Amino acid sequence: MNVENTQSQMRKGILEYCILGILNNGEAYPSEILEKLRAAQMLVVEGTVYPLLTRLKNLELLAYRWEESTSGPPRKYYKITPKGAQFFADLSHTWQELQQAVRTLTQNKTL
Amino acid sequence: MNKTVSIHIQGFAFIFEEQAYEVLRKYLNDLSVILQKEQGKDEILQDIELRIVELLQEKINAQQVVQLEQIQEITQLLGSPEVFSEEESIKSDQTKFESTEPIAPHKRFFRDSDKPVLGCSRWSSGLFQY
Repeated sequence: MNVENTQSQMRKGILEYCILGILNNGEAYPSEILEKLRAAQMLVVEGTVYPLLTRLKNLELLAYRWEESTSGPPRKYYKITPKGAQFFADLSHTWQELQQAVRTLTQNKTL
Repeated sequence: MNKTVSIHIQGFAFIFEEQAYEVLRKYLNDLSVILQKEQGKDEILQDIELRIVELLQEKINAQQVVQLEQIQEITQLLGSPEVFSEEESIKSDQTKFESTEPIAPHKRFFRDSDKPVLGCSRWSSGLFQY
């Protein structure tokens, strides 16, 4: 086991939550989502995002519309659905609990 | 002198160095196999092809030939097909007892000598049908 693998798995585990978080702030097309994930150092490789987007769309947590682009291929703008917003709110609650739990378990009590 | 291949990806025309084309063809074929049980496989592949178009358009202009190095950079950015497999394994761990669906034979990608597409080689006609 190496630290990079564990770091990668940790990021992957919360990628779904982060994507929903990005789209909870407004619609975006995949390249914008990738850019935001990359800026936050949350992106492992781009390919992991596409199956997730389709899966979230199939679960009706996301919806999309096509828009023509003057500078390249048509863009698929994703937005969060009301069901997705509720799902994101539930995950946010869990995330807060996890943060607290991990902080409690990993803090250095000798300090 | 290098041989070139004319292809369309999601309706966008490119001229590839043959070796670059072979690498991309294999990459997409491998992805197709890995995603074969994924619901929405065609949609995922379409999204990836659109991203490839976007990245190619950033790297070259319409007259330039796509080189092997450029395809290697793109496939590195997207991740190896095994990465998609890891992603799939997370999901299949959750659903492995839910589906008894037989595995569909994977699509292969052949030169189409019967239906060449206007302005493209027979290889690209195969890509359309793929």
